[in-house]
Amino acid sequence: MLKLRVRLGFFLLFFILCSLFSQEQKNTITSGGWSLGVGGVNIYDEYLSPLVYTGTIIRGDYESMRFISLTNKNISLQRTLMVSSGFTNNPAQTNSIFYLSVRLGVGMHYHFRPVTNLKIMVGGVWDLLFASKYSFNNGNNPYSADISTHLNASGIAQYLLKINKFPIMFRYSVTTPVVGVMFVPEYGASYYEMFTLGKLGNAIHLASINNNIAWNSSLTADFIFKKMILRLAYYHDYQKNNANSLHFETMQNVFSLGTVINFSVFDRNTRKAPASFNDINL
Amino acid sequence: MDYKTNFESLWKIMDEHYCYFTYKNINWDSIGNVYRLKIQRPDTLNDVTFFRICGNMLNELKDGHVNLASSFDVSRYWKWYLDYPDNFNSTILYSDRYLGKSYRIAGGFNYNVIPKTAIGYIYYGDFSSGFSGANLSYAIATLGNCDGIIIDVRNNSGGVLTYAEDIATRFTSQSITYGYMRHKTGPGHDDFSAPIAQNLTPYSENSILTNWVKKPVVVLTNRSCYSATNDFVCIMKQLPNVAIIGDQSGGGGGLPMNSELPNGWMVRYSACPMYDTNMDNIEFGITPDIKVDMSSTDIAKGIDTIIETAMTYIKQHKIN
Repeated sequence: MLKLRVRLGFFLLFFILCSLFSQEQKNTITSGGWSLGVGGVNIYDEYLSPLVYTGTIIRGDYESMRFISLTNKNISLQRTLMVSSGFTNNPAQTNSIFYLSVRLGVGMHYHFRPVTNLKIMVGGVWDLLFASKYSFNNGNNPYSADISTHLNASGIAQYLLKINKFPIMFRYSVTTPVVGVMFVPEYGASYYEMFTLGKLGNAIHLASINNNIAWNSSLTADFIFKKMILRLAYYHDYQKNNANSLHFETMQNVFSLGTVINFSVFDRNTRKAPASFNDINL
Repeated sequence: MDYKTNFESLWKIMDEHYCYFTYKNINWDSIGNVYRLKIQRPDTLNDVTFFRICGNMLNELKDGHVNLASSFDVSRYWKWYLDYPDNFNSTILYSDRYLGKSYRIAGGFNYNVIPKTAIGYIYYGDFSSGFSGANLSYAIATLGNCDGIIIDVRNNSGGVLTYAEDIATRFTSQSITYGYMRHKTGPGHDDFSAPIAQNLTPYSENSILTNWVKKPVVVLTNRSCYSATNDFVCIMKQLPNVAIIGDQSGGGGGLPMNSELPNGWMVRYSACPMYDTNMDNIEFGITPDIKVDMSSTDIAKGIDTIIETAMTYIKQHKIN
């Protein structure tokens, strides 16, 4: 019964986030950025192994941001999606763990403009993380998952630099969880107990700073050409959590290349954006 | 990584995760001290000798679910069956007296009607050998007109635990609790969860063809019945129309899990102890309802004493 409730709870959160994700206003200017990259991942999952696994991942990121209304130029709505996947190996290269993670996030930020070309955004992000880890050599403990949802504090610093009149937008973004709920398998619980007998035991935990620390950051440089915007990005995600006498850590470092597109949608594309409209990028 | 680091890693993994220290009255600290002395001079060791020392330390646990696996060897403890009579002869089993040459194969099941009798016989020799519900239905339905059925799991050293339940569901019309299991909740030797009930739900409540719930069913066992097979015997022993005949099963009541050393060697250990309905540990096997060994005289005549005992039992208990 508990297993069913947990599943329903996470599905509900997932659908709420997806619905927030898909909502689009009739009149908006949205900045949407896609990037795809390659990098490294370190995984330490005591349920699966006492060793740190390292490997290569590919990662895709999407982020969109727009003001919450036509007239507002201080509060924005941000939506993010991250998908990463890859194979990792133990130090002796005798076993592998397949890693797949997905994070959905919806956040709101207040925009401060202390000086020209500099913008500081401060706010919160609600996210849902699902990270799956499969160890190929393990028998009754082959699989572990990081499943959690958090309210995060979030900050973004953005600076528009012009070099010989060529604009480059630098941006540093960081989110860190404040409070949430996370799934952690019991210390010695077997796959059979959890997934056949349906006994999760003490697997759902309140996540706070004493048992869950994470730091999801990105540094991007958007090169603004006349007809396109090219994005170079570096993503650094670190997550550490403890519960049920088990310790987990994951770190991703990824370099990505992508593009940014500013959508202008007015009366379902029947007219152009008015000149007075607040540009999300400024 | 040096031998000392790997040794300490192995000792610690077992210390924090192995589930039978208290039940088996094992002093793991003392064992660690004894074997630690053997690696005091690393210059006298190589990977093979170090592996042997680690394997011997693990064998102090007397547990068939404990193994150390390197790229050149796997340590193992097999005394749970090597020190006992075989009670199994495949030549006799596949002779014309029993299974014959015309037996059918469905999934992992070899089955037939024993010649000149009305007794069905199924041999299932490996719980890693998969089967579908249809395989099982056909095998049981084919033997549906028999007076009784013999399920022979001798020399079956285990495999997938859920297969044991899948087979057993065909022989009950009521949901039952057949045992319990616990798991470690922390690194202490006695840090265990509350017992979790293992329940068996019937495959069907009214199907005549697929549900043997009244006719006599006999499960044949020997000391080589281990792990998932041991669990299967534990389940079947709870059912009213089932008799266990043969030797005590080999045990292996601790659900195994895996870990690894810094040098990449994999270690398997018993992690979750399983119990019968009286909360008695099944690590050392299940006693049969009728204890019988294969006699050398019978073997010489091509007769399987255990099968013959099962046939007699079915004839005595058949429903008229």
